Amino acid sequence: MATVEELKKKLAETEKKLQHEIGRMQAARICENLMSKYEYLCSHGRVEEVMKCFAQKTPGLRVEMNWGVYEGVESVKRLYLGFHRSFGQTPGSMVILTNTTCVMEVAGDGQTAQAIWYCPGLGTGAGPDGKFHANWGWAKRAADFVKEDGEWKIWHYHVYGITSHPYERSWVEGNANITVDMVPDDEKPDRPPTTDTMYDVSKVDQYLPVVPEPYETFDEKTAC
Amino acid sequence: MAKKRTLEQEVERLKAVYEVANLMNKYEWLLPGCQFDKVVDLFANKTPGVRAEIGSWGVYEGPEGIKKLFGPGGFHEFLQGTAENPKPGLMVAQTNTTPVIEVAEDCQTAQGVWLCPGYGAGVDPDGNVQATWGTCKRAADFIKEDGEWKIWHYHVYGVYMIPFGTSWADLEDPYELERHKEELPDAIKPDRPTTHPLWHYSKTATVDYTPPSPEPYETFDEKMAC
Repeated sequence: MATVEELKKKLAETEKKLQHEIGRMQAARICENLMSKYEYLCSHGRVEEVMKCFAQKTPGLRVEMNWGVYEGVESVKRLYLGFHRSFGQTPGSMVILTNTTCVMEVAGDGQTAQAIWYCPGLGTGAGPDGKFHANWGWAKRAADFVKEDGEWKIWHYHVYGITSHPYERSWVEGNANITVDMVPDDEKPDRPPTTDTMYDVSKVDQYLPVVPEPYETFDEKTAC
Repeated sequence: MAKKRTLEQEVERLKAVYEVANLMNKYEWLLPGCQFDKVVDLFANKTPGVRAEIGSWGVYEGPEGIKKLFGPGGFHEFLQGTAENPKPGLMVAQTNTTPVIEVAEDCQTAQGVWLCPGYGAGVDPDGNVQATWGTCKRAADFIKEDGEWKIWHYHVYGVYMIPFGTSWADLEDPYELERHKEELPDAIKPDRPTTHPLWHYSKTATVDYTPPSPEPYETFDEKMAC
């Protein structure tokens, strides 16, 4: 028969294990909220608040858009405080990319998380002719999250474009996305993109990003 | 009156919601990605009664039916190509949104429904790539198998599928795309006909409350299966 001390020890171990699992479930909810917050703020042009979503004190911060990779805090600021500033803030401009079909994995050690989303959306902006164009646009998002000063932040973030086309034209007739030559010089990325997933009738659909698997501790090899 | 549960039970239920949602979302990522082996592994292949029914295609039953529908050499590979050699121009994305998930009080099963707006591109009978908008509803019953959550029963219900550029309110024949379905080879035909007539939006159709939103429940009853 177990002693009182043994029972107390077992109870404490069980409680510790349960608290850890509760922490992981909370992390899943918090990280999903964080990516939703990112999108909500971004689509309303609230770019200073968008920056607060990112891990600015953790080495390795990076963001990849269709047109290139932004590395480190200063580059990510260039992307959001520069390039994204006009979203929803310039009359007639509107970009929305919703988050759906989330697969979220929180590390066994509770220190990082990985997730992916399908993102149906739309955008409206002025073309070179000054006229406004309505476009449908879908993408996929992937993010790695890390705890910074006890708070969850986006650490690596990668957008994979799928389709982007005027509302009156279908995606099989061609997709046009932002390319690096369309980005002002002082808002350009640090290096070219590492993926190209835009739909084309002659191309095969790529299995990217891959579904995150359960993991214990973060490995850079699985970074998005 | 609120249920009295231990802390362990509450944690198990929280985890169940997260794992079951993850499972249904993994399905939607893996299937368009032609990861057919992994899709089969999402299903409760050791549990009697495992089955899947997609729209008007019919019912696939048992682990052999699941392999026939989702596995290598099966229905979806016939439509999409293999992971090594997918068909060019083919694309499908059927997102999972608006989940309602109920975990049984005994935490051995769960039920979920989703609204699934999507789009895609496929090859029409004339060999042209055609863009389509499509929305469906998904329902699934989940069960624990060897301590892991799996999809036990799975059912997809139509809402609409239309060529790009067509308003779903103006379709002359909502079932035209259905009639142009490819004829399946015998080896991958379903095991029995569909249990629910395909519903497609039309100006004369009343919205079909199927599947119903799951309600809290104690223990699984086949009468409530999706």
